[in-house]
Amino acid sequence: MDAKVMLVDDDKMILEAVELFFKSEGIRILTAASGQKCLDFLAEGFRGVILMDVMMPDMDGWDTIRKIVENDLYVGNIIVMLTALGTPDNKMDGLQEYVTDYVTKPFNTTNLLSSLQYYLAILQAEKSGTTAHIK
Amino acid sequence: MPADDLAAGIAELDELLARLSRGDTALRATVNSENDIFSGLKTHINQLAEYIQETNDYSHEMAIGLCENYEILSRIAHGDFSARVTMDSKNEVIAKLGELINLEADSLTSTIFRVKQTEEANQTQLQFSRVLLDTIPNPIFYKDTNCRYLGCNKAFEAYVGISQDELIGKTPHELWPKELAESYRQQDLEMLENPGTQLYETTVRFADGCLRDVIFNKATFNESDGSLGGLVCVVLDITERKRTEEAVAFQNILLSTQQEASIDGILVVDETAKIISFNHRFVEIMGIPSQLLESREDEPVLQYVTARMVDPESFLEKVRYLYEHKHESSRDEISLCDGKTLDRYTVPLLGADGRYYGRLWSFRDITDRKSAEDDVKNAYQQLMDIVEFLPDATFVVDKEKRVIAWNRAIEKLTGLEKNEVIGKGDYVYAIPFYGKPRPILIDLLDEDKEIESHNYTLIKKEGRTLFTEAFVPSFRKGDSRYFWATASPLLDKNGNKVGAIESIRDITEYKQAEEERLRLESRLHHARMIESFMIRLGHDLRTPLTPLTILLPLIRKQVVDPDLLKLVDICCKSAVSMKKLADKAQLLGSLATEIKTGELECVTLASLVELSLADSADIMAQKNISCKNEVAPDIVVNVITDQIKETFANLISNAVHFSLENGVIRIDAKQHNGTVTVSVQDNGIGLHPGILEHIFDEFFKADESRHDLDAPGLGLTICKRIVSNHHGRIWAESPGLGKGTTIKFTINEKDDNSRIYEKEQ
Repeated sequence: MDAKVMLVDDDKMILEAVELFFKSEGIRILTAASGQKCLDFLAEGFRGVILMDVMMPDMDGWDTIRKIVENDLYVGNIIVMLTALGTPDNKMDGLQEYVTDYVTKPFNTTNLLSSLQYYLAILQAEKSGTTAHIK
Repeated sequence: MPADDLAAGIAELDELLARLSRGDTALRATVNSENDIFSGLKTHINQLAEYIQETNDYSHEMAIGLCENYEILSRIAHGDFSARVTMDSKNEVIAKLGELINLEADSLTSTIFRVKQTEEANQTQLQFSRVLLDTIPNPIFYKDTNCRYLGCNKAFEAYVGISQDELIGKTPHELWPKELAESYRQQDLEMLENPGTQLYETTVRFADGCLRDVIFNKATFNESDGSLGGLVCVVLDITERKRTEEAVAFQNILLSTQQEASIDGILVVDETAKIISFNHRFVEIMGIPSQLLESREDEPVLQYVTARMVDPESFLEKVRYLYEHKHESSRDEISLCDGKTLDRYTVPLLGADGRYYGRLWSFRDITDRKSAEDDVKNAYQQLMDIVEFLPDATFVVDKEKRVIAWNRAIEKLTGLEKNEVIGKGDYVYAIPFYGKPRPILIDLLDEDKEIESHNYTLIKKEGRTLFTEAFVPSFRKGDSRYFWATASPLLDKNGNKVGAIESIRDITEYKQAEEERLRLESRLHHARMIESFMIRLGHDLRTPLTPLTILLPLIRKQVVDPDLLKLVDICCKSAVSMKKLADKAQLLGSLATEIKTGELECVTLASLVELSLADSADIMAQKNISCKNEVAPDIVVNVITDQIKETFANLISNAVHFSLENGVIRIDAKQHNGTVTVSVQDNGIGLHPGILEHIFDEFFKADESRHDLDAPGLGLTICKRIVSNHHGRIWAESPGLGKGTTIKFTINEKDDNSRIYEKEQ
């Protein structure tokens, strides 16, 4: 599993658009149409930056994070929340420590790309043992 | 002559004649008394016997003579006094005897006749006495000198229940209980020893066995020879009289006890105004010295009492009047100098025939009651005063629905003054409201049954109180008015209705305000609905916008046809505008919650303006617009920094949008009493006066085109919400179209205690 970015969103158009955008930038991403699919990818060994939509049917972004933590799948990942409202809600209580950043929809692709490259660099540094700090 | 005596005489003569005829000449008749009617005949027989003894020789002739006259003698002896001897005998002895017999018979006949006459007269006298005695209603008895009853009348028989036959010859001891009999005997003996009359009270056993009180009126009587014959007694029954006397005595005790037990002072005077009686309470109430009353004269008592009166003249006048008008009663309240108040009641003492016997005066000390009454009166007056000054139009009616209170507020409301309604009934209180007398709310209190609407738009009952809202189409022949009224019964301590109170409030203005409020509320609700919908829409737009904003730049990169490129640019710009709109809507939604005190910061206003200007530098540069920050550097405000920055961003953006090329924007601030008024002024297209109020409405755009995608139309709405959240005010000023616009808003200056927080750069 060589992809280092996973987008979790129930909206197929967003999944395809983002995948196309990153592809045009030479970045391969995994697209998960549900929280469960995200957990499956993690179980299969994915480690990297997870762009997580908050509002999803059945299992929303916060439920998915809770499952990730419960299943010991968090380590080695950075989670960035994608939110339409931009304001944190009550469900995040106790889970925000697992969230590195929030990005409001519709996102500025240029900004998102630079943020993503930054988080990927951090992950790479952690993997190679270099100390890094998340701002 | 008693028949027994005659029979005895005849029997004796018969015996004498029989012995004589047998030759016993030694016989002698006994002469008993002078009254012996046969005494003469007996004497002749005795002489005859003696003569025969002396003249023994003639015994034979004598015997013959006797025999010849024997039959005549025998007839006479047997009461035939008409028998006569034949006087033709040749025998001298016999003739002599016959002559004697005839003489005796004549004498006897005349004696018998006389005796009979006397006897008849006595019988008549006796009969009369008997009838007389029996006719007298008083019981009468008489006794002999041995205290034995000689007789009685029928009244006595009936009284003691013993017949005269049973009574006669008996002593009291044989008839009456021992003690009574002994008392009778003692009295009788005393009387017989001292003849004359005797009068005394004693008791007699009545026929039914009970003892009755009597008076014995006794007198002694003498025999014809002057000797004491016995006593006669007339009995007078005084039992009823004694009972009456006892009843009278009881009545007197009862009356005097009642008089003494009375809590009222009582004085009774006779027809000459002399005091008959008075009670202890009278002395106590009036404080009269006892020696005054001892005289029993009314005048000094009256003088003394009069001197104690607060108003002696009228007191005395009334007393004099009542003594003159004997048949009048009167009840008055009189006040004494010592503070007492007395209830004086007087009535004449009148007999059944209307005769005036005097007058009774009764005095009751009502000082305490009077004081309590005064308290009640004062409390009532206080209540009336309270009613008088109640702000609501109020009136009170009594049990008969007559108006007893009509306060100032209702005078003012209705134009009817107190003197026009007080004391009046017949629904007078309804006239100012309905133009005619008719039942209103206060009259519905009496209806036990469920209250019908009675033309009231609303009527309800809580406990005993009625509430209503009434619409009066032509109040005082003028405007229609709405009234709110409450009516409640007034109850005494026993729960009986003694009146009612109604308060009326003119709620026309309130109703109008309420209608306005409801209208505004409805509009507000509508606005919130739209806002909510808008926020939701803004949120929901973000998801479909995401692929657009990602893909459009990708597409643009691959387009080479200049015309197509122009079309793609339009699409990109539209996507950006939609994103901005969604951002503003989202911001508006976040501003819906009120600011908490802890969220406020103290910042210098000038630095805030500088930051905002820096953020807006790009858009200003597009139109070559210059902006002057004229805010004094020492003004510090207490705000949420991000929100005020947003406000400035919007106002600058707005000013730029409506400014022409090379326009000038001036930002200034004025302090006044802790409030800072900020102004953002442009010299742009200006505003029509009619739309100044509307520019803060959602999606309002001054040019009304709404096609200008750069100005989403929510900027000023966001400003208004932010300023409002900071308890400030925002408004627009413009001298007119083409003359520029100034938007002003107020925010609070910092408190002295607040911490100044300079935003770090």
